[in-house]
Amino acid sequence: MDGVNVNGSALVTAASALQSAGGSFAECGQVALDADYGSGVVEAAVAAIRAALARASGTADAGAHSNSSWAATTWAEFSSLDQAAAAAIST
Amino acid sequence: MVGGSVALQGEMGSVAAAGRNLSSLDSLNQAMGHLRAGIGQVQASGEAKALTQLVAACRPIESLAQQIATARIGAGSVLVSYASEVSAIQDEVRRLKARKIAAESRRQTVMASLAQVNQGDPDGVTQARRLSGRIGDANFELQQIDGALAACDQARRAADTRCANSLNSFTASLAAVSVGAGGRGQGVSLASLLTVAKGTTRQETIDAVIAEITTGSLSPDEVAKKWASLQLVEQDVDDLLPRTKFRLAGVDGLPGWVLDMVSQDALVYAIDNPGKAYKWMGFSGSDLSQDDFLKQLTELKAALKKAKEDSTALPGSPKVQMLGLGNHDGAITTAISFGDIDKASNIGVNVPGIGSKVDGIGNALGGAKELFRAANNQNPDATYAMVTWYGYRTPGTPQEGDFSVWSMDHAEAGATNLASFLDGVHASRALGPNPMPEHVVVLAHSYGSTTATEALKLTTYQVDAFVTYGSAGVKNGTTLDELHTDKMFSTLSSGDAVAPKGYGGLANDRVNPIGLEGVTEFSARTGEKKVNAHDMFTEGDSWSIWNLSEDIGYLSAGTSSLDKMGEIFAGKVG
Repeated sequence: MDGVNVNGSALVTAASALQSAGGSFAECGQVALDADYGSGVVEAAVAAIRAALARASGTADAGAHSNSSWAATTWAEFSSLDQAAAAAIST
Repeated sequence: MVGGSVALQGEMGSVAAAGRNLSSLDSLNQAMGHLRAGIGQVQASGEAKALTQLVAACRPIESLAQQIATARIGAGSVLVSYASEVSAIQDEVRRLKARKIAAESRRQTVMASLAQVNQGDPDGVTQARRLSGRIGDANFELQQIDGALAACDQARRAADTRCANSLNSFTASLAAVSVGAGGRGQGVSLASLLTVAKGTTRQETIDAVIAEITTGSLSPDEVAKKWASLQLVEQDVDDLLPRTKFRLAGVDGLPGWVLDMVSQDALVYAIDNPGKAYKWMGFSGSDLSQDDFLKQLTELKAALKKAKEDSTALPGSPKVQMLGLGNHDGAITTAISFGDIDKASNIGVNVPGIGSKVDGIGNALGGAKELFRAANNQNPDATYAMVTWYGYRTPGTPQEGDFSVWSMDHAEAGATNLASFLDGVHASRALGPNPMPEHVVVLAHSYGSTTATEALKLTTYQVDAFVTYGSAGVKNGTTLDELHTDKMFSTLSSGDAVAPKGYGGLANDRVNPIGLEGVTEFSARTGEKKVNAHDMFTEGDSWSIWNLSEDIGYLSAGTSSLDKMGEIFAGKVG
């Protein structure tokens, strides 16, 4: 049937790559910005952008993890469909 | 607070290091690498429509990562610049403080010397005055240094504010983009994805290609290739939004059937929604009033309807195609073909001249019908597409107070459009399912010949023949070698008193194309009827501003000019 062929190992590799992407996004949200700024306004602005970066990276991290998980789930669903089809044919 | 103490706060080496950390994208690049690898694996993992949704869900993460990268590089750069600026201020403060110490020391020394001077001695009085002057100088210098230190503090505060504002702008941009990004596929049922996802992705591809080909920056060849890659069918084109159809109706390089569909749909839509269409097509009150716009479109629609009716009486009942609807220099443009331009073995393109507007296209279509019939009489084995091309703003008539017919401006502006149209037909046919046309002919009347001559200097592809009739003159110095045509033919009736007014004398330096070396002249007055007017076409009893008696135009039935042009169109002239 057109449009439902799935290579399981590629999907599993995809899930793993997306998992790694998530980890790296989390890491890049933790950039070291400690310094002696000597200025209250600059220090506050640095703290704000640090928080925004962490939040944005966290969003990317969550998205990558979520899609990693979904890739794995999708593969499981296709496997299940495949098995169901096989069972139907054999009965 | 002591002057310079604000400026000296902080350690800028550590601030610059923080800025460099921020600009470093090592971990972000690593994340992007993994993400792209993941997307690549998903794309490679199969054909399931669900997977396209997963890829689509990953795209916003890529976009978000790009935003993060932009913010990090920008903010890091701000911090590094800030550290550099503040370092310079701090260096200046340190230099000023050193000068201040030296100045204070000198003043102390001079004051000590002054205390030892015997002011009862006349020499002592003089020495005391000199020393007092030096103390005054030292005080002035100290005053200057204190002022400079205060300025350094002020500069530092300004730098702090600028830096904080810049950082805050990056923070705001991050806050804006992070909302809703990082979308995911979870929560969508597999069944719905199987039916929806692939279609969404295809639509996105269609949208992207159409956006590219309607920018006006692609050549007809590029347009044809990009369009062909979409492999759209009629239903796909029919489903396009009205605005998209308007955009496509002016694109050269598209297949005739596409131009026909979008142009006709756009025409109907414009008549139903004149305000919107007037704006979409880029008209303004100074070009053409909205009332005239609607009036001309209504006339055009009627002419198209009549052409469809008339085509049933032509040999083979050819299809009628509308090959464009647009705006050139404030004039409505279009092209109408008797015959299928995607399939015809012989294609003719007839270019009108002075005073031609789309509301008068009906008359030119009458001439096109005669050309179709004349060619078919000469060679019934060929298939024909006779295009009446109204693709440029023609000059108005002197009777209307418009004397631009004597200038080359409209010809040069229109030449670009005509060259693009001709190359577009070639490009589309080269990629279409049918063989290339065997014979392509450009025919041009009056000022249309001025325009077409310039166009054939611009085309990429050669045409087989170029015919001028009742020419208003071509640019002086033009040679046949410059024109991308194999042959050139020309006629001027002695009964046409108007055409020769278009060239020579004091008006301009255009020349009669009949005089160009290599041009084959043919007669307009050896047939059953003799051309006695400047008109492109006349049918039965007619009248024009040029001739008060019955007129016979160049494409009128029974004229030798029509017969000859039919022969040329049919490819029967060697």
